[in-house]
Amino acid sequence: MNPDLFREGVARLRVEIHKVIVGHEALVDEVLIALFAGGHILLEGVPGLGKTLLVKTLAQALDLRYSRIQFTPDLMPADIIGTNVVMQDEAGRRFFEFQRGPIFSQIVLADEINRATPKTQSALLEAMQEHSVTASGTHYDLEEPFFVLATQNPIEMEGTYPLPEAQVDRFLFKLRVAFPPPADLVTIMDRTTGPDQPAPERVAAGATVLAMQALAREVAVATHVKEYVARLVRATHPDGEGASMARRFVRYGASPRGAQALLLAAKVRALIQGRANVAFEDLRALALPALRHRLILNFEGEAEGIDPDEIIRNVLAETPELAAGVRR
Amino acid sequence: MTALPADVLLLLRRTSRAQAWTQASLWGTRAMVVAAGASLLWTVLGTILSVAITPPLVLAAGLGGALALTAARGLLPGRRLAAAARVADAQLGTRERMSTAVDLAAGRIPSTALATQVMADAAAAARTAAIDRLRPRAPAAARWAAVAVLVAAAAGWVVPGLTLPSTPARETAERIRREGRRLEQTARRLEEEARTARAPQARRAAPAVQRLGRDLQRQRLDRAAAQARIAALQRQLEATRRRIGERIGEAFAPQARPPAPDAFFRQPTDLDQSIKQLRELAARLAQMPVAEGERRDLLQQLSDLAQSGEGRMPAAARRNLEEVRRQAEAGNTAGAGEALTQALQELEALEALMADEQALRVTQRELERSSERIARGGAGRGRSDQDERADTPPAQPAPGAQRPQDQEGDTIAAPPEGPHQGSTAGEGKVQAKLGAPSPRLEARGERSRVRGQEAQGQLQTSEILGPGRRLPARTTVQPVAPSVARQADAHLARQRIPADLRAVVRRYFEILAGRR
Repeated sequence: MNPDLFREGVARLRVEIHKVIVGHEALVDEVLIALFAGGHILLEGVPGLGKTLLVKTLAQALDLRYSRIQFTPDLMPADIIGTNVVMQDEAGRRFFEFQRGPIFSQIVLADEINRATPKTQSALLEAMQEHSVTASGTHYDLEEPFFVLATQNPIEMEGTYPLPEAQVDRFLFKLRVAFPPPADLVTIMDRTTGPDQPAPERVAAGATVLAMQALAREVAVATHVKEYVARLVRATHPDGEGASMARRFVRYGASPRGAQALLLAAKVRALIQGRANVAFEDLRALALPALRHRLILNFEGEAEGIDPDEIIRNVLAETPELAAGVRR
Repeated sequence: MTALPADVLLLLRRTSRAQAWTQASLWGTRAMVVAAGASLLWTVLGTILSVAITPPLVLAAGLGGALALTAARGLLPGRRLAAAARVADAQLGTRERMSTAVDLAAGRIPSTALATQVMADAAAAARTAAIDRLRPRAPAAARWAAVAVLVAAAAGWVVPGLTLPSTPARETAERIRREGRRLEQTARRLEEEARTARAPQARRAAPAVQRLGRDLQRQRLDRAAAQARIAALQRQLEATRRRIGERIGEAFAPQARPPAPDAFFRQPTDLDQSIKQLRELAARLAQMPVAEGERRDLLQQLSDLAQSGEGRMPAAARRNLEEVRRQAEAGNTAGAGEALTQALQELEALEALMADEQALRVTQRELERSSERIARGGAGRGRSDQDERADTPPAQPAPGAQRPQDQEGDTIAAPPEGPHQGSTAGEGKVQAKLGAPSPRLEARGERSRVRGQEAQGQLQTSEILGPGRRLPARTTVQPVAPSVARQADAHLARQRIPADLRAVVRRYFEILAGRR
């Protein structure tokens, strides 16, 4: 794998996805960035915007095993991970056999994840972080690449369970699916109401995805760029080094996992942009999806309905690319 | 570790140079602001204190320093490639390619499988970069710095000479005006006396001195400017005086030149005497033929004059005298008279030159004194007036004016130093001591008190025994009342006075009481 092949692969994947998905170029790019960074995505948007379709299309374009879990309040962890069931062999002896749940896939769509109870939501924790599950004391590795895409509806809050911070922090990106513009809407109608439904071709296998993920980690990052990431993350905190809005509206800022996510995603973006090094613009472009779900607002922020995106924009505006005292 | 590509290195060196000049312009701008501030401060200070250095000079020095600082910073580019790489990334839009390459080459970040790609990317970016963007940028504050310099320059041009009342600067300004008046008086006197003494160079110098005096009074000059004007005139006079001195030196042996007196146009006695004698001889020659005895006497005088004139008379004049003597010996009265006239003309021309030189020397000294007084700055008004009176050379009294009578307690102004000041018994010739009227004899008396100053050192006192003054008693003698005498006796009895001394004590009091 080399940067040119990487870019070519991404371009082909993008083309295949856009055969089905109309518009949402930035969203698709960010999904691909998260995929090649080896992270998971929390997609947030009102119903009907194509979140599920996007994930399904991605799974179809990649030669990966795909499963969909519809999260409901009565969904149990075993429904996700799997359970031991009593089996009987030919000799009539009974034994327990682990019946794998839908988590044992490579692309998992956790649809409406906030409808399940926190207990069930937490069943994803180990899978997302460790890429493994443990059932009845037995450890099972998940097949790589493993990619969770969760969706949630931000409006309909009745009967939902907000994701715990630990769960949210494990998502590389939180992407907001916006309503398509009228032109895109017309195209969507054309594509979906006609006799032929477009279908994407498989353009990449799991091994290719893994190679691309490995290549992304080889991207070089200059010292002062890394320092900028650290200062950005530090500026989301409400203490002395925080940006003005962070000091006022944030209870807890982004975790170190946020810095890792931002830098890793920036590496992928750099490769997509045809560079072998991370630039400040990569970080600025990905700061919102990588950090917005990691900020915990304080009472004032909640009361005033502050959007974390505003805080991150403020952080970007108030954090210079070079630290004070560092000469250009 | 991967080496930096040559294209990247070249670009970074250019960036470093441009950055050095950008930094230099920033330093220069700051230095300009500091210079302007210092000049303004100096200007304000000049209205209070008498400062020796003018604000424009301060500004010029500051700007010179700023220029030197800028040049020094610009010519010494930084050696840090990392800084240059960051600047290049920022200015050329190379998206951190340069800084990443430099970090990789320096080993600041671990090498990766894409290190070669990073270097190739950086080299390609360096080749296609728009190097024109690397031009040194003037800081945004440069415009304001220029405005500050203009304001400082304008203030340095307009304000000097303005002084606040009751400040040392005001006193200095008054001092400059007083010196201007004094120089104007000096110029008038110089012109009058130059006309009398027929000293052309001195007469030509007088208007310049007068102009300077007027300028000092009328123009708003600060101390430095006034001193500069005086120094300029001094240099001019010095050049003229030197030319005259050379001409005198050609005619006169240097060691024979008389010392310069502290007054205008006081000719040296030897030359004056020689001219007098020559005039007498010319009168006698005009009466030729005379008796043989008188002719021998005349020849002898000519011989003496020629011999005694060696060293104090120009060689040409002495040769003319010899010629006079030869012509007189030969009985050629007309030839002798003509030679004598030539000798006289020689001496009179020399006299005029020496008068010029002395006048210029004295004028220079006056200028120097004025410069020194201005340098000392303003003193109290009373003292200044006193200084001015004491420093003004006494006006020459009219010939025959009577010397004022000395009065008890008055101090007569000391005569200026000169060749006629006093004489030492047994030295010199009487004729040489007599000459032009001594200014001491005609000095104008002036009442003034001389303030003493307590000396430092040991103070010695000694007791002198002698009769006291006879003065009337302050209290009248009164008889001692008997009751008082009794009380004294009682007290004496009560006091513990030794018995053998009791009689002495009683006698003492009886003496006091007038009983004895």
